[in-house]
Amino acid sequence: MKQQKVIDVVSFQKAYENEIAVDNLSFSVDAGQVLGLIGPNGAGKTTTLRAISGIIPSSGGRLCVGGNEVSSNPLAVKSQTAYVPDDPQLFGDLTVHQHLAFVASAYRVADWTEKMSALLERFDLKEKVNSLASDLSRGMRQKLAICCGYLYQPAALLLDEPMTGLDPRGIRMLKSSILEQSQRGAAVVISSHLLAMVEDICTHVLIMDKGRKKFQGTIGELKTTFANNTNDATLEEIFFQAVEKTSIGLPVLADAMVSTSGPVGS
Amino acid sequence: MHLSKVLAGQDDSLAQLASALTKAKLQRSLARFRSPRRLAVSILAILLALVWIGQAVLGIFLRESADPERLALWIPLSLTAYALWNVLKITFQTPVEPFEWTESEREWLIGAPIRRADLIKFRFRTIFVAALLKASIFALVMIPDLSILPLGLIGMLGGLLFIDLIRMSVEVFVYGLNQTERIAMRCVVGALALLSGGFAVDWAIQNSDVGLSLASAASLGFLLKIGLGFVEQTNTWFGVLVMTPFQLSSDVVLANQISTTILLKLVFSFGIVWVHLRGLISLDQRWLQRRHQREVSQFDKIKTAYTTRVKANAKIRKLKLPVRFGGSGPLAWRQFHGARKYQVALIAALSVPFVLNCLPALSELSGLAMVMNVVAGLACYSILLLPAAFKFDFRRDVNRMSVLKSLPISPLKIVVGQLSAPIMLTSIFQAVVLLTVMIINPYHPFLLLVSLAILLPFNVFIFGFENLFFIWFPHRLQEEGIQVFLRSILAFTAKGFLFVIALVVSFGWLYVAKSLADLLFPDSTQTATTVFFMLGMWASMGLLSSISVALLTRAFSRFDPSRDLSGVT
Repeated sequence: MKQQKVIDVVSFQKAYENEIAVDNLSFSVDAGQVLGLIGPNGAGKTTTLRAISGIIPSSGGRLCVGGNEVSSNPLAVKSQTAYVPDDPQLFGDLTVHQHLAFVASAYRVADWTEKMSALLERFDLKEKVNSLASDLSRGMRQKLAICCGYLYQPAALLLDEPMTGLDPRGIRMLKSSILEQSQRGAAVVISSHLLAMVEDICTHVLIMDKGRKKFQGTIGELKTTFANNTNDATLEEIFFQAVEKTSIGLPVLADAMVSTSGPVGS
Repeated sequence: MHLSKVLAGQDDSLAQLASALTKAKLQRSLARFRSPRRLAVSILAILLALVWIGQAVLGIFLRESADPERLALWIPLSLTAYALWNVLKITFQTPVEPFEWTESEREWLIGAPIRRADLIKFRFRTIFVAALLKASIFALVMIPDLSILPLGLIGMLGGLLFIDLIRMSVEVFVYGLNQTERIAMRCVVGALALLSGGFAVDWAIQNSDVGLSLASAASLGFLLKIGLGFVEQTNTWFGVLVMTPFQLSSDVVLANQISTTILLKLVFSFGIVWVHLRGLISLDQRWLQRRHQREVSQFDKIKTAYTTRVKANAKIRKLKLPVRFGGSGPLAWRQFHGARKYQVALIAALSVPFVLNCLPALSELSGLAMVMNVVAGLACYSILLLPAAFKFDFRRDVNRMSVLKSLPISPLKIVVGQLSAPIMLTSIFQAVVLLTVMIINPYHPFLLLVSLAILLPFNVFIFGFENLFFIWFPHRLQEEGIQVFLRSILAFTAKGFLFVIALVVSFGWLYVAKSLADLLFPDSTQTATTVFFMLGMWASMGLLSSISVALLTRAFSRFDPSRDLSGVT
């Protein structure tokens, strides 16, 4: 059965004044897939996620979510996309409850009170429901941003370094919740430097370096390409090999397309 | 429909957010105000507010109403001048984005499925509330002059909203221009400003009662004539065109009866605001697309240049470390680097005060009298203008307060480092003025040294006080709304209060100095009076500057980023 392409990025490029952040990036993510976006600092990961979510404009190429193009139909894209930044900037004067109420209103969420209660319970934020965002710890702010993203069950979930500041319990909860989101049919993109986590929950990997794609494929394909078919090689070892190999011009699987694997756990 | 909904746009979520944010800000401000930790600051704010209110009430009840004809001339003229000043200022700036958004707004609003038009209306709402407050205060202060108070308020509201919309439109317009277009716009606007200034000076010369001479050119009367030269331009077709919207507002403000004509003018006045807002939304949409298309078309060019530059930048150049000075050195060095970025805009902004400060050199005054005239002018500009121009201190570090607190540098050294750049820049400006005056109309170099010696502690005091006020009431530089307005009123009242005290003390000290000179040096009273006066001024300035630095150091030591910046960044 052919999978539904939720996120489709074609020849995306982005320049900031005189700096090139992303150059000719193409990839797609199907419903139910979890794509790990990895790469060194300054690779263009955050720029890519922010452009897909419509926060920043592209300098070229096509960015689509659920068949809608960001440049021509931004509202349709935004209503299906949740972007959780690495350091969520909340409204310091609003409470946890008010943040969720705003999201419920902006994204027109039905039965949001029940959904909110369940999410707050799950992410250990129930006791903080009336606390001001400025009084929350770093990890709690992260959890609140994630709850806001989950509240409207987006088709595309973009998480930028989502583990930052979370305690071990929070990390475990987040991992299981990401898998649930993918099982529900969401296309998930996680930008992270925690390669073990990427290996744990991602079905596919996209390696970026200096704004360009170095590899895209399943974890298995990555191992085949870079680890000489050694199945016990860790993603960390492969990552270094991939970045170093590609930077000296050895063959890459740059145009490998995402295979149509089913949702995780299905 | 609820007013907040209209102002925030049609989107319910924005109306809800606007209302929640306003309530939360109010609650937060009240809680802060009542906090025992900020008791002293709260009392100071109440005192300043009382001073301002007292002054305003006295003005309302004791003053006679102004000449309606003069008001009919000056109200539209002032509004037009303010609008044109905004156009001139923004033309020489390079906006990073149209409508500056806070980080939280960018993440939560720009990323949400909310129409751009509604976001602009949301921003307009902030401006509307602030304009409403300003117009209310204007109407109250103008009670003796207004026949119908509500019309005064509504008329002024229309005028102020129009000014804000002009400011926003120019910002959006400048943002959408490319480098060449931006330079061209600066040339055109700059040339028009020079042309207008030239016309005003020419008119002043033609209409000068005392004839043209260097001495008359420096007189206050001549400066007023230049002002009238600008007024004269309102009779040209361009002047009439620019002033029309403000003329409508002014007519409504000063109306003495509610007639059909006045109601029509009111409708027109707000109609212009509405049309302008629609135009702004449309301009923003078109200009964003324009900029996007340019970015797309220039990508390859940028890429080639970037690749070349990256290779060149890979070379590590030698960088001389700043002198440490106990930790103050690197901080001052950093602030100077920040100032370098704005050098062109700073030179442009300071050129007018430079010329005005040098004018006494052309007058009939000479020697000590002339220098005192120049120093008094410099002091006045240093209080009113320079702290706003040289914000290279704590005020641009609101997001870096935690970093500053974490540095292994004592609070005093941090304060010294943070204040060094604006104080030195101000002193350099003052020295350049005094040297220019010396070249035009020579005076004894000793007077130059004495003037600089007095102005230096004065500068420390001014910037120390400005930063103290900031640490007590921290805010983002780009902030808009009621809080900024109230803070400005309090700061202005405090400055005015200090200025009056300084004047009283100076005159008092002059009297004491003269008495001392009469008593101790009866043969050379004038010289002794001057010496005693200067020494006293220098000592008192030194004392005041030390107090301001000590208070600022204490305020910085007590500053708690987690509590004092909550809701600010």
